[in-house]
Amino acid sequence: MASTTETKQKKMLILKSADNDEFEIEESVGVQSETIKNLVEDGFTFVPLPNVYTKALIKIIDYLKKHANKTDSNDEEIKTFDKDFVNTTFDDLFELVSAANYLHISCLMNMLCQTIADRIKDKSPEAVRKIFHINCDYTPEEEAKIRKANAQAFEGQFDESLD
Amino acid sequence: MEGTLGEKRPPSPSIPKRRRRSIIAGDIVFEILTWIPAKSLMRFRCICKAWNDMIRSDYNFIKSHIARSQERDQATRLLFEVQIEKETTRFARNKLEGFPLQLRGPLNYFDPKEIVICSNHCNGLVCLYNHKAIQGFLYNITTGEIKGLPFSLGFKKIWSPPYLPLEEDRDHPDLYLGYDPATEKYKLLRGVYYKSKTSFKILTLGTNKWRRIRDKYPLKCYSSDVIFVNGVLYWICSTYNAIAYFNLTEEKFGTLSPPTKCIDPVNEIGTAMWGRLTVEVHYQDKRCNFIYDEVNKVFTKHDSNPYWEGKKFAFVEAENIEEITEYPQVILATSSLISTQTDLVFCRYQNNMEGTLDEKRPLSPSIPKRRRRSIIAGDMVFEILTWIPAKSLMRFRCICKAWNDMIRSDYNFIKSHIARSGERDQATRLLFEVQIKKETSYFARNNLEVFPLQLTGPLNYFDPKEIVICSNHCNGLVCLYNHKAIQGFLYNITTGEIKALPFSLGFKKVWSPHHPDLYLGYDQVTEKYKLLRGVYYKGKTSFKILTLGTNTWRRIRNKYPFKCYSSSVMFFNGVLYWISSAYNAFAYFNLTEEKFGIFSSPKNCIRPMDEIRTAMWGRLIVQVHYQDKRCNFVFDEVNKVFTKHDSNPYWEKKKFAFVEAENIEEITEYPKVILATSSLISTQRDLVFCNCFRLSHVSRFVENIIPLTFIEL
Repeated sequence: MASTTETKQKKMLILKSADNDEFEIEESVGVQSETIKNLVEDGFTFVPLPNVYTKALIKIIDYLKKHANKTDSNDEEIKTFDKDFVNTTFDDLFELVSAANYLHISCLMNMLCQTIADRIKDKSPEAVRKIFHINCDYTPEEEAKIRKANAQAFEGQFDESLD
Repeated sequence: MEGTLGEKRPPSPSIPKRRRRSIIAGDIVFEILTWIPAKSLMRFRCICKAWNDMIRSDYNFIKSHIARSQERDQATRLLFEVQIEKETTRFARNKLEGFPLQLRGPLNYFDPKEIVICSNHCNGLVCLYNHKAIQGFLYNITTGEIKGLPFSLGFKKIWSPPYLPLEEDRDHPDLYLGYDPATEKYKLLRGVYYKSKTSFKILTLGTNKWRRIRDKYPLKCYSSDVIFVNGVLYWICSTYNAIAYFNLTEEKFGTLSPPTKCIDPVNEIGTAMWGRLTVEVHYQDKRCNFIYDEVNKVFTKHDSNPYWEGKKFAFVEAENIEEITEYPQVILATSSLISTQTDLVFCRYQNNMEGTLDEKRPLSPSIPKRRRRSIIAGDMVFEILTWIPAKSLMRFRCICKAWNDMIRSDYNFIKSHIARSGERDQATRLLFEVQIKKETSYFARNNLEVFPLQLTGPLNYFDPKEIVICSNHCNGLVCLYNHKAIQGFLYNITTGEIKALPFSLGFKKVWSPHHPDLYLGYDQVTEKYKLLRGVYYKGKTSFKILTLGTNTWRRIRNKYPFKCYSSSVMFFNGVLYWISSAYNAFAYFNLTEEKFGIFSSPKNCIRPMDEIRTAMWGRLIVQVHYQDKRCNFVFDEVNKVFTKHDSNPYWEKKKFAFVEAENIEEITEYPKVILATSSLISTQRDLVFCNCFRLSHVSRFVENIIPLTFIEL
């Protein structure tokens, strides 16, 4: 509900994704990212982001907009938004975490890392390999040895699902 | 079930039998490999996995190798950037002795239009800058390893080409790598130009945050010629007779005046050769080298024989430098310090001959193309894994070798994980020794709320006739003692790793025959673990102390302040406290000062130390009769006084929890001791154990994945 004069005064930034899509956002929204803030302090209004793809950038802009308008009253709303935000596939989370790292948005970075950590901590090694696209480079003997050395950590049941 | 002796799992390591075929032990290999030059070592990585792991990820090995290299003269090298110029002036060549410069190591050819070497070389690391991609790189000259800097460098720079007309093609990033010897961190300094004002920003590697330097660059004249020596960056500015410097520890600029009649404000070659800031000066009608004394901040004459006196200086003809191409190239080259003459002078080099470039090895790091399948980068995995609880992490060691190496041997990862665990509430746990008694008395059970204690982590059952838990738990490490074998062990509760202490514990003990009077503590100042032991000899008692890693017991001159001993000892915050109800005072031992002391407890003290609350709140707590009530008093370590704790003590509300540890095994024929942990946040503050369990040595700790191999024993 901002008046027209207010919108004119607002400084705008243009972000360009790795797929060459351009997004216009308010400066106050963008500066939550350390990387963007540094560029803005140096007088840039056009910010190329060669490491951030459009798909991730759209989600991150949503996040920044939501968190830029943080007040005491919409605390619950932001919590719900955050919960929704991280409720996605591992591949998307990885894409987002790389982007958040490049953009230096530490609160987003911590939230994403915490989410990924919580989702994988009870999984079996086999499931984690699939999630991270890792090929096991141990020989069966080597793997058995490590399992034996950490027998305590293998007690109990583990989650085999990939989501 | 009857157990045979073979099924018992007593930790009783014996000296391994030597096989007749002479197999060389791992620690000897370690020792030998510290003597191998770096280049050979890189080749030896392919010998076997163990060697590769040691060379690439064993922090102790890497430290030892660097220490050894510093002792070996051959390992000190000179690094220079050589730029081949187009024209040549054969000045005064006839008076000079020419010799070919032996350039060793890989010669790295750069196209200065793309890659710039930031002007400082620091501990064998070079900062490279690709100014097309606005991307910085860290390059290890010894190993040839290169890594992209993970943060933005997209500021406007101060020194753009108009300020530097001499080298028209070179665009300098104004980026300087330095090393802060006080914090042992690398720092990047960057000049920034914004709205016609110049300022500097600094970033400590590992933090990814640029901080603005409040201090201004002190001279009006800028120069991109910067040299890094001993924690300080020096700007070489020949137009003004002054040197600007930036101290990387204090993060401040300053100036220093070179001696009068300074010819060369900073003699780069002299500085590099002697490792001290050197200037060339007209002195008593001669040219001399003056060396900067950093402590007294004065220049003093260097007594070496300067080359211009003997008129015999060497003229370098770098024979093994490749032919020049259409544009000048920059070469990053090294030579051995001992084979290089101190009187090194470069000739201006020209070569018009056309050569083929088939063997060129250009080092042109470019931003790696991202694959569209979302493969997560290694540093992101690092970041995510710091958030994983220790137990899951131990399971994830078998995912792949790279993860296992990171979890077990990457010192930075382990440090980051411990730091993160300190922030995560779930990672703080309570540790206690629970002894199961034979008889039970159900006192006052009716007015207490009962809840089962969730014991997490492995429950370790010990036979107290064989193994004793020494009374202190310290940073998640426990000292165990086998009093049949007179052998001590270090045990990491989080990872379950156990290691025998490699030194003798065979003194006569002070107190009961079952207790070893052995206390593990941690000195926060030196960051070392120490063992304290009570010794009884010829009717006298005294204490000995050993710093882990040194293997020598030192006698404590100070005496234990009381006549009455107690084996109930509690360690926290660098101090051991003796709990003795007989005296209305505390005995303590400070592990940094290595001294005993006493302080008095408040009047009307009921319980000299409340172990559970002390562990829960992480402060020393006593119970006191105060204004006809029982209160908790907290010890203020700075002012050495007790102050009333304002929490609501449980006896006022008559509602305290009675622990029935449901998941503890049935009692057997003899009482057993269990080492157990529970999560701190799920444990109620008013934890009371039911009488059938005797609780002792309660302490809080943060999960700690540090491998015992990292603690020098």
